[in-house]
Amino acid sequence: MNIQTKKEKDTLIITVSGRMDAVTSPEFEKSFAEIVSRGDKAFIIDLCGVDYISSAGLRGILTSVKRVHAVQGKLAFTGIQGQVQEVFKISGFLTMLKVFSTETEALAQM
Amino acid sequence: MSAREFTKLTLPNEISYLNIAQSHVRLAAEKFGFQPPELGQIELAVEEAVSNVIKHAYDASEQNSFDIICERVSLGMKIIIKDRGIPFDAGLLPQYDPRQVSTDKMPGLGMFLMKNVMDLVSFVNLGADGKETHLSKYLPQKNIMEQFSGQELALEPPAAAAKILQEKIPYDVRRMRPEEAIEVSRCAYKSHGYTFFDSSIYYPERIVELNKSDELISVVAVTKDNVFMGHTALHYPHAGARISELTFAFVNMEYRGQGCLTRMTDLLFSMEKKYPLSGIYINSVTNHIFTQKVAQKYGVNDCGVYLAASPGTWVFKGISEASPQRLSVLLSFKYLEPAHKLTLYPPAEHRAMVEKLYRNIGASHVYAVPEKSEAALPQETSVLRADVYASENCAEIWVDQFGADIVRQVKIMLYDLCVKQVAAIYLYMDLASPAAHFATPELKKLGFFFSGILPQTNIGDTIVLQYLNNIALDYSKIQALTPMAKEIIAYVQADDPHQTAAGTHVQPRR
Repeated sequence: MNIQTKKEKDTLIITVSGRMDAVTSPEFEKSFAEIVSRGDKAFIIDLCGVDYISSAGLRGILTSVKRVHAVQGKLAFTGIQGQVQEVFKISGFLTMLKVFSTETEALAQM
Repeated sequence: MSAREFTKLTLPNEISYLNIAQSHVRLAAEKFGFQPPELGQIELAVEEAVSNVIKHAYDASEQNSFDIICERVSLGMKIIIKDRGIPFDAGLLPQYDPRQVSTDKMPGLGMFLMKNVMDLVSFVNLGADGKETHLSKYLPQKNIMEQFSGQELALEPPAAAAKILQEKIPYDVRRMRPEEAIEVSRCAYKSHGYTFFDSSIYYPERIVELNKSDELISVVAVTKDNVFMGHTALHYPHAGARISELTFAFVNMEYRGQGCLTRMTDLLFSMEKKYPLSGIYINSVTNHIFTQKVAQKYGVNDCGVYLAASPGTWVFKGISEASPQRLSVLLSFKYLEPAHKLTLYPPAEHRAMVEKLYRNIGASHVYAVPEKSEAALPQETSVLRADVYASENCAEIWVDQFGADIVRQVKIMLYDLCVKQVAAIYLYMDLASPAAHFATPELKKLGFFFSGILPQTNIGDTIVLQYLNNIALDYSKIQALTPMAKEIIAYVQADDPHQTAAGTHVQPRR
């Protein structure tokens, strides 16, 4: 799994690629914790490069939501497609999370 | 059925081996004909099942292993994950509800995903030998409704308006040929809509595959010019079964009255079979009596009723046939060879009815009372198998082995199924085991009540109990043809712990 970040005005965009499963999710959680600790308050997680997610990956997503709430921050998601979209839909995450079709839409809501 | 084709991999119980497990399964699935997105679904189910084993089957410090078996089956693939660790009670896991997702917790999510992406999931407790999770996935195939227009599949008009041939025509009955499967599916839909419980009949490729493996024996009636007239079949519930279901009987409207069903059924009964049968059974819907008439005609007599076995409303691509309640199914049975005399231990409360049902299907056994109650429940762990049928939203629990913990194990399985909102659960116990005599009244305390008997199953002659989960049922809407069928329904209703004075079943959700 690969994680890259870039800043757009006051929002940190975190692009994740690869698989989010029981093996890689601990790495995602650790990386995201470190990112949040740097002080930013607005985040967009772009999952366009993620081609597979399991319940472990969803728990990693949930952990990221909790971390952002704990610092009174904002969090949105983009790039949800394919198998990830199917799993988000089945699990109810699609309705629970703030999901946008494009990065532009997500930025507009921040 | 052809020789078993499977792969087997044994892996250490460490999460770092997860990707190897998934790669193995993915490659096997590709070989068996699967493509994306089904490959992704299979990988997901395997991860969830394997993660459960790694997290729960053994102590954290214990180095052990588990097996993954990928088997080609006629309709697709079965994956078996086997471990020899601590019994895992799925029913003790909190249940995940996608409608109530919150950031607080999401327990049971893995199990939920696993069950959602596979066609059939079952769990087998093997006692001291551990346990298995069985995951089945069907190859995607085109449903008949995707192959013909609505007009081409329009349900046939009432008989009075149809052009039924008046003259008798010569025709043949024989085993179905693969190229005829599409006509079989089309005729099934035109005559019955989308009401067959087993939706395989609406997939021509599945019909061909099931016939190739002899899990389904289809016979057809055709004119001398090979024009398709009708179909009926024997469907084996599993490999090596001694009994088979007579099912999928239908004839194109214009050829009704030619005696097709009789000739096709006679052929099915008489033809030499690769897997000899000792009996056949019929599941007749009770929203009409036509199938019950067919059963009676061939001497297949009533022996039970499965209440609320399938949805009252089938909705598929916008086609719906509303029914006020879930459909109940009448069970009937016929021996194809004389029944061997058995010693059976029916529960005291139902002994008279069990004897009556056996007489009705032409068998007479020795009905005994176990000698010592303390010897009736052995000390081994019970082995139970649950098969969940997602499209019907019902489940079967088979008691493969009785143990002293039978009631506890059934309770755990029942809880799991109820929280999953399975509507109807049928429990099968071997009547030749004295334990059935003692377990039944204890299971009644959980809410199970009488359903009937089914002889010659893979676990023996069985008593069937049933449990309805949050189902409203009006008994008066169940149509029964024979006096015995009416008596069975009345008996079941009297045994129903939630029947009301108005003749309905009303039970709060667990």
